[in-house]
Amino acid sequence: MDGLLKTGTILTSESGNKYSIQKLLGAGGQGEVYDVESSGQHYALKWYFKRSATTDQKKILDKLVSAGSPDASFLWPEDLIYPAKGDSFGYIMALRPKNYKSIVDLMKRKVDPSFYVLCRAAFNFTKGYLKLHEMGHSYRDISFGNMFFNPDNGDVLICDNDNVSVNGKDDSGVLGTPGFMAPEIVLGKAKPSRNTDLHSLAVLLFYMFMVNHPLNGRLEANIKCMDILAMERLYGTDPVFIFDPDDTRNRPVPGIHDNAEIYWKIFPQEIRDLFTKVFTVGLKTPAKRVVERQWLEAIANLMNGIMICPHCGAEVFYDAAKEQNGEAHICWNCSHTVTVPAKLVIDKNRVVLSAGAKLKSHCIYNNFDMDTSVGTVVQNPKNPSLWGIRNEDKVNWTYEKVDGTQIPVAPGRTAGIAPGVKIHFGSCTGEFR
Amino acid sequence: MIRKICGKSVTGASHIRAMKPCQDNYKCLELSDTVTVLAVADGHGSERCPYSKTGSQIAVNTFCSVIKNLLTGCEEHDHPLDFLMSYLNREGELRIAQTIEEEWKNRVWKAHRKNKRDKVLDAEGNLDLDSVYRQYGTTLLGLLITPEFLFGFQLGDGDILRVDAEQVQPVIMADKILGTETHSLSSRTAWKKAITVMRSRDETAESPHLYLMSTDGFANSYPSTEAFEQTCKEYFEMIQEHGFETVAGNLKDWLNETSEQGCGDDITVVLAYFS
Repeated sequence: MDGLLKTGTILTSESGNKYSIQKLLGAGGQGEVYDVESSGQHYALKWYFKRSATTDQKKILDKLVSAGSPDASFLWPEDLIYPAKGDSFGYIMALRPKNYKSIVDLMKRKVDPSFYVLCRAAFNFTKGYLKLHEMGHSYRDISFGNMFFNPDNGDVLICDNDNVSVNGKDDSGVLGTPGFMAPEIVLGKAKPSRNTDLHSLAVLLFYMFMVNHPLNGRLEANIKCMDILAMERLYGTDPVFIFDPDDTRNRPVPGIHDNAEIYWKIFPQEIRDLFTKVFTVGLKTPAKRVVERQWLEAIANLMNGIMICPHCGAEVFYDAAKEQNGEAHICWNCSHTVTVPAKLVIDKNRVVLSAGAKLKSHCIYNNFDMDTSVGTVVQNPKNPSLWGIRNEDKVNWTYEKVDGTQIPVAPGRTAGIAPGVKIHFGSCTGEFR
Repeated sequence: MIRKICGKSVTGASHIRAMKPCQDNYKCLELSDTVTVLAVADGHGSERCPYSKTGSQIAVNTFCSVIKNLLTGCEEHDHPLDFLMSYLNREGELRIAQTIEEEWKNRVWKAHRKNKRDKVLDAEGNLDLDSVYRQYGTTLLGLLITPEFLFGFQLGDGDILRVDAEQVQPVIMADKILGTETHSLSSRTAWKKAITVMRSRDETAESPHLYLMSTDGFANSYPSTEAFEQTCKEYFEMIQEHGFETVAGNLKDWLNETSEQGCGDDITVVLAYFS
């Protein structure tokens, strides 16, 4: 179907570029999105419905274009099209590649990413919001429809950034999507802010990891017709976490919420504790919600703690709580025991040293860079029973034996893995356990 | 714009010969002067689905009821249709599809018990609800038309088209399954197969147009997509030339003729004309 703009229409942007309408891609609550072409390149144009083409929206767009994108994961407004006074307007952004899939595709099992990819996507979404919030903005509208990820590698794209505004400033009419809104917004007691974004982010992460809504359990199953009023009760007046340790009213119902039961047990205690915090005390006390850095540290440990079951090849998460309690790691897929290899513990960061495991920059620099490798677990070519970490960083490490002897490990050299041995990375020290 | 709505279901020519009832159903709900909900469902009609006529009736009622409830729930908002549009756009393929599936299954189970039909047990003697639902298997097409937007829903085969003087365009591009199989509301996690679409409307700026919803018996009665779309265009032209009432009055006969000369399946067509 055609939309408001006909195919072939030429529009000129504020920066003087000419864009030709190619086809309608979709419509939302505020406007339509088109595939447009300019100088042989394809872009996306969001064109507002007249009722949404307000002066306030125009001001927001002007500010967003001036501020620039927080990072490459945002499909940020790049150019503006204001044809004439009284007409509607729109903005240009990059076109989302077709291989990026939505969280709904994940829910529908149209895509089946590995746990590592899922964790990387979750990490990248969270990192994107951290950057956005650090710029003093709030997103206001975290939900399924705005988040896309590459199921092959976990790269992400965050769309619909035209509602982003200065944290706490009420210059956008957007409140969010019911299931993602913080309870205080659902109840009309607050406007979107960084704090309410933190609730929505936690809902998104829970959906990604547990493939279920954190508040949809028995209380939801008992609702005869899920209308807006029912949603207000479920997400606003009486929200109960499905795994609330002190309130069992809303537990997952077998046959309806099986995903939550299955995945909850697969993820380590560290992650479960964060979800429990954000969806119990965090529901009523916004200031006590889990912040982005806490999520990033925990998800980084998740990614660094993936072990491959030697029997079936499934990915199994290392769980420090299990080890402390003397519990074995049992593969969720084949039920065989998975032996935990040595670990390198660097302050809050922890890397399970499986063959080929990478030591990421974040682990020693706390910079949330989980893409750059600074070390790799390698086998000693002369004695395959010995393992070490090869320094792939640009600086020397110092290897400290149990007796206190220190040996420099230059880039390209390997430090042997042995219990009690330490590596000084400069700003921090890691210990093999 | 002036809105005119009509719908007709006819028993397929081959079904008449086999003395089978029409398994299709439709429902048209004019919620206000400007808001319309339409639904069309095609019961599978196979031996495994002996109650699919009831299933398709429950399906059209479910769609209309779910959408009506959503509209009612939005009335407290300052801009109810804006809110609803945003909600349907974000949650259509997930929450709305899940709600429709759950509600349909609840109603089917209720109808099954009310009619004291046989409880199906699995090998271990437990109630096999999946098998109960399968007996009522149906597709479902739904359309919500407001002055500002159009929300389309499709689970299984059938067509929703928009026709005007210039072109015939599908409102939803549904998954086409080869052969006679189709997605069904009765299957487990049926919502995953649902497709939804949101389109803007500006009644004040639009020229006369027709929304045409039909079960697959209509399109399958034509040798090609082009021939089917040409027929849809002719319906539009006949409405313009002879008036909506004339077309509505003749629709049943024309559909009977189409089924006889075509695939012989049940046919349901719902027309919503705006001028």
